[in-house]
Amino acid sequence: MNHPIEEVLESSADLLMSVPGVVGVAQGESGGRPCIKVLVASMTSEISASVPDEISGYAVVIDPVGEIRTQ
Amino acid sequence: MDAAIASVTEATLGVSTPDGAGYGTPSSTTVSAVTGLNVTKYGRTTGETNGRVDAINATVNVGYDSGTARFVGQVIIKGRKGSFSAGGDSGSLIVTKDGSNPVALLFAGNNTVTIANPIDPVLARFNVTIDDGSTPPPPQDTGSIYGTVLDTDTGQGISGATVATDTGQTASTDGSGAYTIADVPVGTRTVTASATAYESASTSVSVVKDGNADAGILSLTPIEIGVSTVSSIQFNESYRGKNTDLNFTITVVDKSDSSPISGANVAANLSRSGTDWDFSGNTNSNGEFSGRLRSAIVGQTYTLVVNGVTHALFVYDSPNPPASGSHTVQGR
Repeated sequence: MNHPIEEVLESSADLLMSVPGVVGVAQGESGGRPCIKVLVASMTSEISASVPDEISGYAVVIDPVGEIRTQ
Repeated sequence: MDAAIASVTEATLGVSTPDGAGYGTPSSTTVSAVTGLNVTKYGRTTGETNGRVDAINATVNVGYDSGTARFVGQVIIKGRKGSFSAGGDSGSLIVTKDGSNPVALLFAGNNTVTIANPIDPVLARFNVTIDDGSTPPPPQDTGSIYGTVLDTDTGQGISGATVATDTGQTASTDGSGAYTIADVPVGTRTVTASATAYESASTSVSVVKDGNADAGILSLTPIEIGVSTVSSIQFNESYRGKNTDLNFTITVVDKSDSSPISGANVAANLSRSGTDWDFSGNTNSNGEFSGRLRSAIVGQTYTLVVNGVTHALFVYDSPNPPASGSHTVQGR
């Protein structure tokens, strides 16, 4: 892991956000290690196919949180 | 960010979550969100809820009525038990569970996640700090306002009119219609005069420190007062299995033209030998106020007496004896 997760997130956010159904990307934690979280409205085959399992050594975790609305 | 700032008066100022609920008073020292941080908030809709920072540095698409907005650098929180927030909780300060240090400002989410602005950029944007209640609010510069409330038709002063400022201070007029309101925060204030059976009127006045500002004359136009009367009291029965419910409808009309009066408050008493029930409520657009006595006794005679009808624009023409009606329950 040569690059800090903040940098990896910044460089990959636009691409991940362009996948239909992705509502957010963030820095989370998985198994005690920093991971890239991809928030999706709901799981689709397109998301499974387009979102990689890891980016630059950081695990990618898909979280089907639903659409996000102002409260 | 999605944030707003409002000005308040000292009277409406508080630094704690209300009524002993929630986390109390936040610390003035903010902390940055890190994943796993335990947090709490007190919101309008869901009150106190506990959660955990699930993710940070989030880029999120948030749906608004007008479209979707993309936010960056956001904090994502998940509730400890169920949702952390719901619609109407926007504006809640999210603080650490331990120490009540401000972390973020709530503005979006769903049943699963809550999205919040990190608090430091919000405070910087508005150039404000979190009030932890340790220093009293600075004394506000105030002045007073005086003026007169007159009847437009007669030119006479209106006694007992209520005059209120936009800052929530009120005064009543004396016998000549004059009033003074003290300790009004400086600035351009709106003064509104209202009185029973008059249309309200407002004016603006500039209040200066320790000055006495003349709001001049506020003329109120009288509203014509009508006379109300009870035009009918009707009964009918409805049945649930073996039970008979006794329903009644009282109709209130304008005595001059028999048109129905809506929003009149009716107080009535229904009685039979040995017991009675009070009913009250407002008439609908047909001038009707209805009530129901469940499980009435077949063969008994019930009497309904109208004790009063009140409405801001109508005086009740109260008959003697009061308007009443009777019904003997038939049963099915």
